[in-house]
Amino acid sequence: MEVEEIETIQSTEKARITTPGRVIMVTTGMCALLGAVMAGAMVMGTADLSLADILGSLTNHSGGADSAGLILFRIRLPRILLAAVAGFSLSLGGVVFQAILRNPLADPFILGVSSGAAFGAVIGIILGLGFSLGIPLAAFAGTLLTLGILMALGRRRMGTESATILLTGVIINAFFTALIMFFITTTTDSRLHSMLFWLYGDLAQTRYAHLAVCAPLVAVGGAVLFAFSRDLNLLTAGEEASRQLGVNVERTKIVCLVTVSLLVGLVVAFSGLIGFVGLIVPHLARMTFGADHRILIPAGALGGAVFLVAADTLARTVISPSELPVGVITAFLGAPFFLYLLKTRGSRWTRS
Amino acid sequence: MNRPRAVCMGILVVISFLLSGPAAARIVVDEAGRRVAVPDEPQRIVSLAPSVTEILFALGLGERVVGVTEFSNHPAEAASKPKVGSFVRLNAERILDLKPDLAVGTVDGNRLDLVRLLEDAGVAVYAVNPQSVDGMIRTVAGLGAACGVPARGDALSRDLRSRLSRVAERTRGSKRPRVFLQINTRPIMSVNRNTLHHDVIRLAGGENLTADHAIPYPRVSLEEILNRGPDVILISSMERGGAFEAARQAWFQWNTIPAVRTGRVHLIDSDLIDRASPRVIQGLEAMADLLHPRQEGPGERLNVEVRGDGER
Amino acid sequence: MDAILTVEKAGYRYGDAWALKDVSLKAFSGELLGVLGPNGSGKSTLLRIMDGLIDPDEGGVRLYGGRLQDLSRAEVARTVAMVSQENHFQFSFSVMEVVLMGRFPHMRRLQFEEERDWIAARKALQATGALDLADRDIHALSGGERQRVLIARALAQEPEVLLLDEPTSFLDLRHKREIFRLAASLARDSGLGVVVVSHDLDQASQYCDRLIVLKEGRSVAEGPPRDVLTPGMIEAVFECPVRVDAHPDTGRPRVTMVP
Repeated sequence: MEVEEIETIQSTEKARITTPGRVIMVTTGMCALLGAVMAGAMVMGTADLSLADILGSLTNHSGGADSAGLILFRIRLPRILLAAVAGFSLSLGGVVFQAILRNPLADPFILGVSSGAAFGAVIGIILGLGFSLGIPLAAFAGTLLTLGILMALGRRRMGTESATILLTGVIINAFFTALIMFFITTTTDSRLHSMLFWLYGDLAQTRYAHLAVCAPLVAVGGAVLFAFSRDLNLLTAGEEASRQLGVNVERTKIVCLVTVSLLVGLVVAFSGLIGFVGLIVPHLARMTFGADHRILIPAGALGGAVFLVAADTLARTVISPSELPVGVITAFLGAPFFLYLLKTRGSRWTRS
Repeated sequence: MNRPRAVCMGILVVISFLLSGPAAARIVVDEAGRRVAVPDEPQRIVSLAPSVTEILFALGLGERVVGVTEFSNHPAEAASKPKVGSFVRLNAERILDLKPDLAVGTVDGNRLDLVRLLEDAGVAVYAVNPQSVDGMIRTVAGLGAACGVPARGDALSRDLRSRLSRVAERTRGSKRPRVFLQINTRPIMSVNRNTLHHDVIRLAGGENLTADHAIPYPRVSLEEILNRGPDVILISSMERGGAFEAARQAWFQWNTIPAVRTGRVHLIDSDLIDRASPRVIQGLEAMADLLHPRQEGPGERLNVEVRGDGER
Repeated sequence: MDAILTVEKAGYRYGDAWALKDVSLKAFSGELLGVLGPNGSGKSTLLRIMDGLIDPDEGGVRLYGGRLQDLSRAEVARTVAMVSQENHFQFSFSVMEVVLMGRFPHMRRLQFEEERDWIAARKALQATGALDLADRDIHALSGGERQRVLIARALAQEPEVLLLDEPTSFLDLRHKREIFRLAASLARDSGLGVVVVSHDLDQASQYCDRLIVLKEGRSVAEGPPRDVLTPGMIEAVFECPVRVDAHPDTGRPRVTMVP
């Protein structure tokens, strides 16, 4: 067949085809959107900073402390960056879990790894550990613990049945949630507040040190998962079919599961549990860009970053000067949208 | 009187004696507006809140207290009394087991169904509702009267009021520093105008930075604090642990805040300002000292910590 | 002529029960081979062994001269393609995207589709008469259309052997005929070795060049339909009384059930 003919074919076929060009275009577009949203978030907040204030502190490099500069670069910017990294990670986790578990209701917390992290954080709070190092470490330790349990219990059947591993996750979730409830009911005031706010997501008081740990690892994890894009495509088309075509189903599932769990555990250690991002944004991305993971992974992940930066900005401003936990905002945005999705699409989680 | 009549009278007397209850009683109106039949001299009193425990002991009724809640940690004698559960989860069985003749609780904290349960079991329940420092002083007097020790109640409340006016005197005319009271580290939480804490700040001669928030115990952003720039930061700590010292240290990085620049970041025992009890006056006095210091020594302020047992 | 795929005395066991025992067959290029048998006779197991998805407990499979087990999964997938019964697409893909999935064994990780992939996909769609469906959503197809697309995906692998596991089970009469005609033409015109597992004795008889009949994991008959489909054999294997006569148009055995 002539090259000419092929081009004609490609252009006449209305089917959406993934090309490197399209991937780059979508990724760049989403990055631009993220940049815009982040810039918007920088200028919004309790402290009413005028454009003059912002420009003033941007040009003030004399080292003298100025309030606007501190607000912008020590409070808002790290927080916005963590919101982006966390949203990226959570949505990415949702996309990948929905594929490997073949379940549109999956989110990165479904296997219980997050409840292990929450348990670790709660214990850390009770022990009075510091929030800059101790609590994140405790939370991540919780993640590793539950991941270990999951691997031990579900690994053997991982290759054959998603239902088994989902069930294991449900049980792990229930168990750790019960433990957490126990501690919540027997705790005194100040620690209780800390626990509750952590359990609903708390991006305040983020430090650059946290970001220095998170961001590169999330980027690496994202790259690893992107490399499995086509395997994930095939997996969603049927396990047996993908096996026949040469996908190493067991290895793909395990690598993806472990990578997502570690990524999410890492992010959750610093941000607390923020729900709905990993459930809603993947669906939104799929509805907009299609189910090919080569586009869905970057689009969904970046979409999650946009979503969470926006939600966090709302959390900081909607009942200004008080703040709401960001998990409350994502639930308020997420739940009605989810019901809408259910209503209009029924049981077909598909792009029309 | 002939024999049958005497016997009848005797039986009637016995019956009326049995029916009338253990001791003579009066009807008083408690702070929730309820009419309560309290015994003239209640001998077995159960306290349903730590603040109530403190008031009862301050009124000298310590020996008549037979049960307290878990966190009734002051005075020391109270800590050794039998426990009837925690303030948020009272154990009705335990309370009834102690056979009290009077239970004293708070309108805010204690549940109505528990109150009804106790009353059905024959226990008089007196509710207090101190919403401010002044309210607490009136509660002292009222509770003293209700428990049959009005003189002590009056004396104590007079004493508290005179301490209050001494503080007012001392701080009169001085500029009110803007105070940020931090009641939680993570997340940062403070108090609005509808709280006891706010009243304490006000009476101690300060101005509550976050008075205008919509919720009583709001979560506050660092941004706002940086923007509003308080003159004094008070961290309310529940213990002397390292965590709160670390929280104090953590403020020092935000050096555009006046309070940080002048080193006016202090810890204060939360028991002294959380509870509507006579000790709140002590907390108030200590806070007034912090907000309007008598001396002007440069290095002194950094390490001032006010503790519940009166030490500095 | 050499067989492309040779099964030699294959046996497979689930626990203590032998699903397949001592089964041998050859798949030749240009031939449509039908695998028949009642439920539980091991047909699907046989197909899976031929695709290398499961390793036989006894005997083996050869792809041309070499052992199937020695090849990598990608190498096998470039030669043997299978369309199984279970095909549930969790999310929406276009038909073109689905067919391009068949190119997986030819592509490296992180590689995007190239000319030769487009060409293969297009040829596959053409061969199955599904070219006009290219931009449709896989969920918006009829049963027959969907089956053709799945066969196209298998053809996109550019295999030499095509295995079809009960491809007409859920299809209506018209589409059953369509699929069998397609299978036969693929064998005849494209030179593929096509193996079809079916419940449909009649269709198998009309289109297959050779048949192999399994009962309880063993091969009980093999050969052209004329030789294999006798009333005696059918009643013995399928436990159902039948009449067999010659189809007036083709002369091949026509199987009619006795009610």
